[in-house]
Amino acid sequence: MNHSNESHSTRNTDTLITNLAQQASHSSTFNARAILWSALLIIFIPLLGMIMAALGYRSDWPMTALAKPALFFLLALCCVFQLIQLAKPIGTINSKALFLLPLAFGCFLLLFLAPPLTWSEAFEFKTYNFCFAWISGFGLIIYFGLRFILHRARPAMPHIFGALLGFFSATLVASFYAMHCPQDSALYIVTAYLPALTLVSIVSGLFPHKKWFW
Amino acid sequence: MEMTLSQSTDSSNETSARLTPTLEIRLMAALAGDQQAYALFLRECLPYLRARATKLVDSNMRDDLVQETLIAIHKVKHTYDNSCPVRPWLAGIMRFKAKEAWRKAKNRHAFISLDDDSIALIDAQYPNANNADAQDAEIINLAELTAQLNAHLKPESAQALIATKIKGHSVEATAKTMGRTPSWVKVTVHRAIKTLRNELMEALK
Repeated sequence: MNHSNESHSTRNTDTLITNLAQQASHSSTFNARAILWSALLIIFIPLLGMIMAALGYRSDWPMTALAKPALFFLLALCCVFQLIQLAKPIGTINSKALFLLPLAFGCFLLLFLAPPLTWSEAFEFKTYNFCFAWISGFGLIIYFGLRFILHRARPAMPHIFGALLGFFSATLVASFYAMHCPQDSALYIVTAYLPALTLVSIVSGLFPHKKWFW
Repeated sequence: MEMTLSQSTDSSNETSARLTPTLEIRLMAALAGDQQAYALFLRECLPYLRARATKLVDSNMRDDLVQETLIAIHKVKHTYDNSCPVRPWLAGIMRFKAKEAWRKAKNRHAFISLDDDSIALIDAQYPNANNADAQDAEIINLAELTAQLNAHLKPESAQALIATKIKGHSVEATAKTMGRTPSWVKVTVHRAIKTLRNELMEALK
């Protein structure tokens, strides 16, 4: 009886292999590293640079003004390394990403040197709404662009991959926008930038590409 | 004897050392569209996949998991990085499929596997069960089934359920026959299954 089941199953497996082999056709390999870096260097970074040049960069450049874009740039870099890993079915933690996180945290600590704000001042700062809308709006646009470009990715966790891609898009926008924003306080980062990054991550985590599910 | 054992170990090491590059080369050839190399690749993966599956699931689920993994390999083969060995890649895909199967089984609330005695009992009761025609004639006595379902469901629900799930008609065809909308059929069938499941769960308690 068991032997009969086994031979039946072996026959099914053989048929399956034959069918799968018949469907084999030439397909280029998916290289997440090359695709992601090319998309960033050729499309998104020049595009954001041009948009920010049109918006105008800030006039004063104290140390905190450098630490703010550096913080977001390092976070974006962490995400790139991790995304390259997670785009494959056997995604693991990338050690380079882990190495960059303390550096990003160091940049965040430097922002405490900026003139401090109170909670109400942070929420009522003149550019608060603009900061939030800019980062979340452009973050989502870039997310959907990257989602299309990375449609051949096959992550083990599509929602997590989507959320991380969204977080990456938002940090990329934030790293450019930070060169325009005149407010360097750490509290302002928490009240204006962090909600925008969270919003983009949640939305992108909820809307991963259909093809990422396999 | 020692010499023989040592020779055998050496030869087995050589075989396993040779095996991985062959698998990689075959997979790369498959990605280039070579169907024969692809079939060989999948067949050569089978012993490894079966061994891995034995560690992940019960023996009665092993072949299902292997087949699911083979289909998954077919879907994600373009993500293979030729600078990495094949086996961890295969193991990762299988682990993912095993987790997915476990989640699905959990979502179904209850998964009852038949033991050998039950299978023997069914075989004795339905000796021609493997024959599709006999199955239609002997097992599915529609009148009896309808009567049984009518005891638990509304007649229209039973009719929709039998048409879609037993006779295999499409939702659209069933809706047309019953003079209803396809949405009504879908909802009715869904509710009928839910009702039967709840009653079964109650009976099993």
